[in-house]
Amino acid sequence: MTEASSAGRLPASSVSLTGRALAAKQLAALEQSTGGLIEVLSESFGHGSPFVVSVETQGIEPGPGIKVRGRERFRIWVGDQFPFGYPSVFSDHRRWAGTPHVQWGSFLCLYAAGSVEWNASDGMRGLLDRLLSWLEHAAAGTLDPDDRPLHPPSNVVSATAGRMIVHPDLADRVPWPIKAIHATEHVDSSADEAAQGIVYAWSSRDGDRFDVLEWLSIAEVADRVLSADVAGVDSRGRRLFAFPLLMIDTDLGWEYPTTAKALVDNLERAGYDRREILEQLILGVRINRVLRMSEDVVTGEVPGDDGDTDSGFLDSDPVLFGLATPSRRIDKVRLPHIVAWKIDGLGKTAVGLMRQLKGLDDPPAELAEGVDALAKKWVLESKVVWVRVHEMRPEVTRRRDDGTSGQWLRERRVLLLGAGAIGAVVAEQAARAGVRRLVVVDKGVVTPGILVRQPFYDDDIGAYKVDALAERLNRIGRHPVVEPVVGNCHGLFLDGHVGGPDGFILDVSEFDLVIDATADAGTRAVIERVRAGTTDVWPPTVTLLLGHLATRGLAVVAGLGAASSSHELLRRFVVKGASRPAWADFVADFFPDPPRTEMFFPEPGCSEPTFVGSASDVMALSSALLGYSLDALKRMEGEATVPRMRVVGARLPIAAALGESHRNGIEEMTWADDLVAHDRSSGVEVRITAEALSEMRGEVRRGARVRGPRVETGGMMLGTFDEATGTATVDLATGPPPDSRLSETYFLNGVEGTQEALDSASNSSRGLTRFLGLWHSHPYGPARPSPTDRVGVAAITSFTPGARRALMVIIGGFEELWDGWVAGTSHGPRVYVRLLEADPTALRAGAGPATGSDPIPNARDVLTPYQRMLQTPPVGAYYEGGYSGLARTDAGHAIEAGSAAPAPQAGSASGSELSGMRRVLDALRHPGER
Amino acid sequence: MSTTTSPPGMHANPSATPERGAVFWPVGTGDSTTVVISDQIVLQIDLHDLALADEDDTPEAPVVDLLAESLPQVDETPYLAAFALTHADKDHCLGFADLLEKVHIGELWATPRLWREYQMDDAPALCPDAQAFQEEAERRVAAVMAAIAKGDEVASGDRIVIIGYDTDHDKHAYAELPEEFKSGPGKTITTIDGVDCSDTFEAFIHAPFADDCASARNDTSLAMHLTITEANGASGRVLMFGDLAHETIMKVFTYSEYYERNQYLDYDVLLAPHHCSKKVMFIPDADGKDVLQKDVTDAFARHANEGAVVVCSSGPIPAQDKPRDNPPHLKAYNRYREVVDEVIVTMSWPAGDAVAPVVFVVNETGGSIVREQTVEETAELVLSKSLGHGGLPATMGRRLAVVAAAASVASAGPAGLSASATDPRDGLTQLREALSSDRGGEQAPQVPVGFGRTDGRAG
Repeated sequence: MTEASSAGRLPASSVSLTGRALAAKQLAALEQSTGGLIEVLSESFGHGSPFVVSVETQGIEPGPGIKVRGRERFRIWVGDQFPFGYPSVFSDHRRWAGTPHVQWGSFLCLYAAGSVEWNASDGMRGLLDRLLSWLEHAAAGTLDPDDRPLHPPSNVVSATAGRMIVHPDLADRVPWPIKAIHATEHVDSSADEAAQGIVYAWSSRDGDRFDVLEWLSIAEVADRVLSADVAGVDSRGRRLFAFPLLMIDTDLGWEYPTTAKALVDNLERAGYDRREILEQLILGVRINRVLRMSEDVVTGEVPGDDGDTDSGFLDSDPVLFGLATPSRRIDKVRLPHIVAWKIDGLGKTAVGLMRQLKGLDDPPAELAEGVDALAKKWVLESKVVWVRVHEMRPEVTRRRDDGTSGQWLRERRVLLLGAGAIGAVVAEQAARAGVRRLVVVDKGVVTPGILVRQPFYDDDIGAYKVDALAERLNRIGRHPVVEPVVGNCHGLFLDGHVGGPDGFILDVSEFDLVIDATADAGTRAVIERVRAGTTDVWPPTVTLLLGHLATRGLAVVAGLGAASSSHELLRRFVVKGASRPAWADFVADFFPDPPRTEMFFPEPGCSEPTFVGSASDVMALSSALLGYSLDALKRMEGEATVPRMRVVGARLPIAAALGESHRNGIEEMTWADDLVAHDRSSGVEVRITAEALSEMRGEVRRGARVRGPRVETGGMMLGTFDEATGTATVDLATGPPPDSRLSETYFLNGVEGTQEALDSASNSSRGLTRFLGLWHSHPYGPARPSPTDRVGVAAITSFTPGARRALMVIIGGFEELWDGWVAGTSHGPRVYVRLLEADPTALRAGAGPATGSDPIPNARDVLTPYQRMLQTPPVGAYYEGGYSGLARTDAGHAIEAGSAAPAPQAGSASGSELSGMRRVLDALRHPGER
Repeated sequence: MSTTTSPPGMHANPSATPERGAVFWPVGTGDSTTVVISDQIVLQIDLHDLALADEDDTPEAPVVDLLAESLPQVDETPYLAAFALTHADKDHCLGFADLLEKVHIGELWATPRLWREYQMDDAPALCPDAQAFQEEAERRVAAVMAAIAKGDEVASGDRIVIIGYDTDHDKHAYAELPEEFKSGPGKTITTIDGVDCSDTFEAFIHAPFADDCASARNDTSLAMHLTITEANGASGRVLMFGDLAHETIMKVFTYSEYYERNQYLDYDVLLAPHHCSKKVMFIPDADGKDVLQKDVTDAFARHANEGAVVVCSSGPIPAQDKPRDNPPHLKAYNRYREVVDEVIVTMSWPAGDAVAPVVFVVNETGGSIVREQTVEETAELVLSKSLGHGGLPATMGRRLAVVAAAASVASAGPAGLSASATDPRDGLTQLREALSSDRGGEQAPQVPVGFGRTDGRAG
């Protein structure tokens, strides 16, 4: 049943023709509609023959390029796939042979990139249009403008001669000046005695593959093969050999000769003697014999006992002759174009015999003549077998990822945690981007289930993922870059090493990037912990996460020196994002509240829950997130003001289609650096977010305006304590509540409205930001606590419900520093941080939970008399508090408090009853001065 | 050295004035070529005097009279050193009888074909001029034999050269002629009417081939290669095939290339065989489709000298070929345009509505076509003086100038023959526009079109 078998193929009965029949129809129509300006001729009407088409070309402006007659005839070969593939066009003569974009004498390169330039719908009409444009440009000599790379000459390569990969640049060794040239300045191929030079291509071979590794002068190659420690094979067991490459400052035209005679004649015309070619070939053979002999010594293989017998092994190297001409042009510079001629059969025999003949002191005349005749016969009769050359020379190739963010990875050293759905994708992309070193850490093995979306193979099942990955990815480049480390990421960071005595020892300073692709909260926390306090040696750290249906992903980027990394930044992401519509779908996806109870267990009972997602979604998201992260790192490196901490949320377009979000694409959240201070007594690292610090400054400025610049101020801090990571983070800071009392020496933090403010912040952040402690300022003073301050904090910890510890932050700084910070012209103020744990004794002694309505009297009940004395406001000019920062709900208060504040006698109202108290305080603050 | 100064706009040639060359007369679709070898030696190849044509609507200048006037005078009679007839079709010999009457023709070049045709039962009709030619040829053969019998020198006016061999040679009187009165493929002629011109002129005979003697008349055409040489050795070359078609032309190329006689194939002017007929390079296949014969176009391309031209001795090229049309054929014309830089059609040179003779001159740098303006001005200059007197232009020697001027007069008539209106746009522009309009959609319908259901109509 042919109908069934033709599914997916073009139906034979289709009304649309294809191939030659369609082309014929289109050409006939054009012949008709153009009134004979196009004629379709034929030499034969059989199948498989070209169309012979004559085209009116009268009117093409003559120029320095090809000469176009009033009428031109072409042979157009149309394949069966027409119009989906484009036809080949040949001139019906060879008058244009040797001109740019004419190959094989008559083939016209009409399309530089047929796959984009060919329009199937326009068919033969488009082809002819293109042809006319080509002819106009070719006649004008503008086909190859000098700002474009020169199309290298074409040579017909042999399918069996093998392939050659050229790695090292050659331009610094060529005998012609490397300089900018003009399009019109053609290399004069008739030049006598063109400049020339010989180098040897130090190469390895592996089957029919030859890799040129280094260019050496004759002296260098001789030194190398004659040195005592010469190695005949490389570290992977590939045999090393060398062959001569002639560099000659002439052009062999656009098509390289196909016969040995034509090639040799061409070179002789340029002044390179054919004897010299033979000499170099013989020298090459000798070099390679030495290399093979050295190998024999090492391996103990039995060579021919005298070097002159035709030992198969000693002569097993290919005989190659390389040729470099200045036929490449990139950025107006004449660069060498490299081809290689593989000499087999008769030629190889002739070269071998000539080498042996040279070894004889007094070769018999007839033998010499015979060998000479053989060499002549070879040159006369053989074809040039051109090896297919694949260029990797940086000078003539450009990376396809040039200028992309992905290039940030080039030559970088990357530590990748996790080799699963995200990690394995990231690893491959990093390897392709050209990382110098990629250490992949994962303890998992390949299971059948993951093959659905992770780049592993059936054969890999049971193997460690990192091993399977390294084995595969190390084949991308010539040098292995992927190092597999089997182990647990927590352990790696906590212990500093995994895998026993010979295992991997971690030194993060050896890396330029850490990528956490574990999707493991524990790993994120470990990193946060290990990083804390050592951000100066930590490389940028990126965490990549996928949502539960792989429709969304998150990338968390902590740049160089960033105080916080993904563990903390994800908390902030929820704090901020929970109340923002743009982020709501991400928060719901990654941090559902209440937590998702229906988990996906691919192998129920035996596996960790994971997310559902197809290979395409998983790989697309992973790639997009990596790309974003690299772009962010590139921007951070480029500019100091780019925020170093950021979270990006990426949605697959499908997320919108599924109705999961009305928004498409990317959301981004950034944080400027935290102000980091350490509490030496507790070891806790305190991070005051830029936002909180900015709120403190706002309050200080406001206070200075309404109460006077030297009056202390302060308020509540909201944030979190994290025991796992040993950090406390200040998310928000408020101003003084309205019932506060403020003076130049005393700050009584009120309570009015604080609970409402806290509840509001906590609710909107799903409880991720909570009461953290109190801050106050010491304008123009030291960031250091007074005894009163200490008692105050103790009071907080004792009588704030559920607060078994509280953070006290004092910001201060003397004259210029303080003024600078307040004005925003210099960086942060001096900061004192102190984490105070609740005194269990005090708690026990407490009269039960405080009501919060009047904490001070309650506190006074448990304080010692001395402490009570310290907590009593000293004599002075007092102002009332008022909120800022959380002022949205209390703006009226702030204004009222401010307006009520003016006190004419501020600072001078020193009533006698208060003076005694002040003296006591002064004595306590400055005990040594009594 | 010429003492005249070049008039403005004229071809100012510091070197000696070219004496030698060839003039291709614009005589409709037909041949009339005058080769000037020296002031005294003029060779006429074929003749087509349209004045004698029975086409009422084309009153033509009398070619024979003009030619006669331009010839050197010997004993007060116009003297033509030789007349060569490629074959006896009317478009090659019309006016010969008249010419014979008015001009002293020193030597006739004839092929054996007419002798054969006179004996063929099914021979195509011969026009009166062809009959006159044959009668004259036979008279000369007899005269030559008689002179030889008497031991006399053969006189100018009686001379004849029989070119080519016929398998029935022996049946005819010309077979008895001494070798000097015979020529054929592979031979050269350098003596004209008893005058040795070998320093300046060489005609190499390519055809007719003996093998073709019984073929159609066209296939027995005389084919020649003329080399006209300047004093300094520079030469101009003209290749002419009469009305030969593909097979015989290829035979010419094959033979001469085999014998390495490329110098007798290379040309500056190729007179397009058979007035630009497609039969030169197309052969119909079994379905009647014309199949291109690339061998012959390649050969034409191979032997074209730098700057070579093809001259089509024909009426204007039709805008489109129609089946069974006589030459010229657009199909052939376009093939020549693919081979050389310039293809000249005698009846539309230099332009469709202003016809001038095609003048090929040989000077110290070789052969070239004299451009339109030069020909025109030369002719005016010549005609403004009395013919044959001094004060001639420097662009060409006296005889050549006079012949060119005569041909110019002959050209004055044919204007208007031009059939194809010349499009002012060049071919490329036209093609581009055609390709673009082939894509369609650029124009709305130009006429109202009605639609409707006939069964809805009353009636």
